[in-house]
Amino acid sequence: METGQDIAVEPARAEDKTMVDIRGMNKWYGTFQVLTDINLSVRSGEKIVICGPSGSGKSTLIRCINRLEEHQEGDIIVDGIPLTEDVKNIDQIRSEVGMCFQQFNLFPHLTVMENCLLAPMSVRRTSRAEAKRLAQRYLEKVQIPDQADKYPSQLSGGQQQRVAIARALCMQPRIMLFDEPTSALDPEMIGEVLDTMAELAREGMTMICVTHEMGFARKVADRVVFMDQGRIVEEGDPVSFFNHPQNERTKKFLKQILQH
Amino acid sequence: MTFDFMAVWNNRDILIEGILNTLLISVIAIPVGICIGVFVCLLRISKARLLRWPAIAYIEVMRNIPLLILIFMVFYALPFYGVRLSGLTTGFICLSIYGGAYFAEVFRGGVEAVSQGQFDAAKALGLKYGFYMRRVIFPQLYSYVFPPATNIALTMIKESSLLSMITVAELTYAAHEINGRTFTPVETFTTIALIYWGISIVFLKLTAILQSRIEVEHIRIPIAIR
Amino acid sequence: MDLQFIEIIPKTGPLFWGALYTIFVGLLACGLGIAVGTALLLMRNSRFWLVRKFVGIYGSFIRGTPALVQILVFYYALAPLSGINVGPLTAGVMAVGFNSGAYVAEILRGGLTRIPKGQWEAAEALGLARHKIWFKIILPQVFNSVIPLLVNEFTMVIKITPLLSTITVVELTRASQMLYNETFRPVEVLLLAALIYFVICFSVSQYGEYLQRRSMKYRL
Repeated sequence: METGQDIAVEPARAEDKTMVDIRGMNKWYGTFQVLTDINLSVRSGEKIVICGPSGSGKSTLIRCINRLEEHQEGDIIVDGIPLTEDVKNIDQIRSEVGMCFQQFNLFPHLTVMENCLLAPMSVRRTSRAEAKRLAQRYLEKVQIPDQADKYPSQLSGGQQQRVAIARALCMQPRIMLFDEPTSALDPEMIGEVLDTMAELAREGMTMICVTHEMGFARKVADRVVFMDQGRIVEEGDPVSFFNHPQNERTKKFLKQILQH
Repeated sequence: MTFDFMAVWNNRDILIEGILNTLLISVIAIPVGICIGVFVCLLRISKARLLRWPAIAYIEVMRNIPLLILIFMVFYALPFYGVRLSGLTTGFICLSIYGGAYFAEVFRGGVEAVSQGQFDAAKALGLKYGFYMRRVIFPQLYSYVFPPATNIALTMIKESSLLSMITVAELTYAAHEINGRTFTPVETFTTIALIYWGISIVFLKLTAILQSRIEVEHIRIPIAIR
Repeated sequence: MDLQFIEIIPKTGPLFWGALYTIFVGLLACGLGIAVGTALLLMRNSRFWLVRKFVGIYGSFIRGTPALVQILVFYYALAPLSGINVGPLTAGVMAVGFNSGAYVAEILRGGLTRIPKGQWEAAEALGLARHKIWFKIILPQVFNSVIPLLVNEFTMVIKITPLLSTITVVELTRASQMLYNETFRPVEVLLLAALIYFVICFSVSQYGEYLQRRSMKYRL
């Protein structure tokens, strides 16, 4: 890596290393401000759950981290690399950051295996054999090694999302972003995806998840961030967040979502 | 290499006559084609086989042979049966019946896009065939049918250039004639290409205006009823 | 006059060679059309305004002028403008190919609008370079979704090829003209030629419709 100078100033313990650092970030769509004064710092190995009502800007926020959306003001630093116009930095960050989408976004014309091979081979220049070994390993981790030659349309929604996780892992990312990974799934398939995510968390992956699964947040998250109208309203560890929310809007949101 | 566009300019009277003939052919063949299209479309969507099958045969034949072959057949083969048509008449007939088949398919696509429920409702109200076709189904067709029909009409304007091959004095033939006099093929054919392009652009502009008119009326009607 | 096919049939050899030549020319032109159409699609999504503008003007010109005139311009203008002296076949194939390219570009554009935005995002999130996203992710899906329409485009190209008879390419129409000038039997010869065109175009378009129906089935 080319960022030796950043590593030198970091503390020795890996867990304390800041993986994502967002400072004073603002973003507009035209004249409409979608994100206002966002400050968020994520340490290595930390699991963050971002929740909030729809339209609160939570998806937009994590899509800024790998530059699927552009921010206009403030700094985003991912693993020591500042996110700027520089295409080289963007490419480098994208290969460090894996992402899973609400709609899975698997490539329908490629088999499960080819989906997993594509990026390692063409971005990382991994040999086919090595990439295949890697893909096999991650497909086993998400528990669908025997579906490798099928096409995405032949799999259930839950299986597709697990393939999407495996595909992202094949790039051996240091951070994983999840954008409402269970929202498009039938209820009976949500569990298998959340289990896979929890397993990943146990292994120490740095994760930022936008999700409405509060059970997952309680169990897995180190920190819960609540957003409303483009601002971070409240954040804290899950116990205090769920038991003693401070902000009125948080209370209202939790009341609505935990009613049932 | 030099270009001599003056040679084309000096023969502008031939070009103008060509343009007028091209426009004349289009102005007659397109409406006739539309009429044929409506008629054949009604046969095509009919439930009676005796009506439907000839329509299918006509549409499929026209859509699967080149227009030039049709023109040659009418122009060179019909005289053997005692029917001797002028080039211009041949042109009208061929373009109309060729375009008619394409229009019929476009109209059929439109009728299929209007939901079956509309037919059911119209029949349930006891409306007569001619009445509900005219007042219920066709008005709904405009938005589906207008863009592809415009395309076919434009294609007919362009295809009228084939009539130059049976010596109809339309625009392309005029170009051949000028070229024969002046030996300036590049200039001449480029010029008529630009003229055709201009005609197409004007035609598309006019149809766009017409379409926006129709759509405005379309919106106005339900408000008036309310 | 009675039809006398019996008399004509022994002499129809040139017609069938002409038919094969028509198919050959059609395949070449269609291949060129797909290449040109793909290039136009990529150019249309270019970063540069001028390139995008060019695609718009190109499409407008091709769709606004008769194929016959395009062929004539191409045939007469290619040699003096480029200095390359090509035969009628090359000029004809190129003219028809560049004509078809504009229509193929429209077909591909339609296919492109059906590719979900998520495909771009997923590919970008994986860090794939722009050209790799196009050629490995987007274009394969676009082509898959428009195969029936491309098959149909082939029949369109076949129906333009008779125009090449004006620039002395001996395809089916030219061959039949030569045959009826020789035999003085235009009725039989033209009917045969029409039949051959019909068989080619009808079978290809039926195949296209079959593919269309099949792809609809798979989508459900």
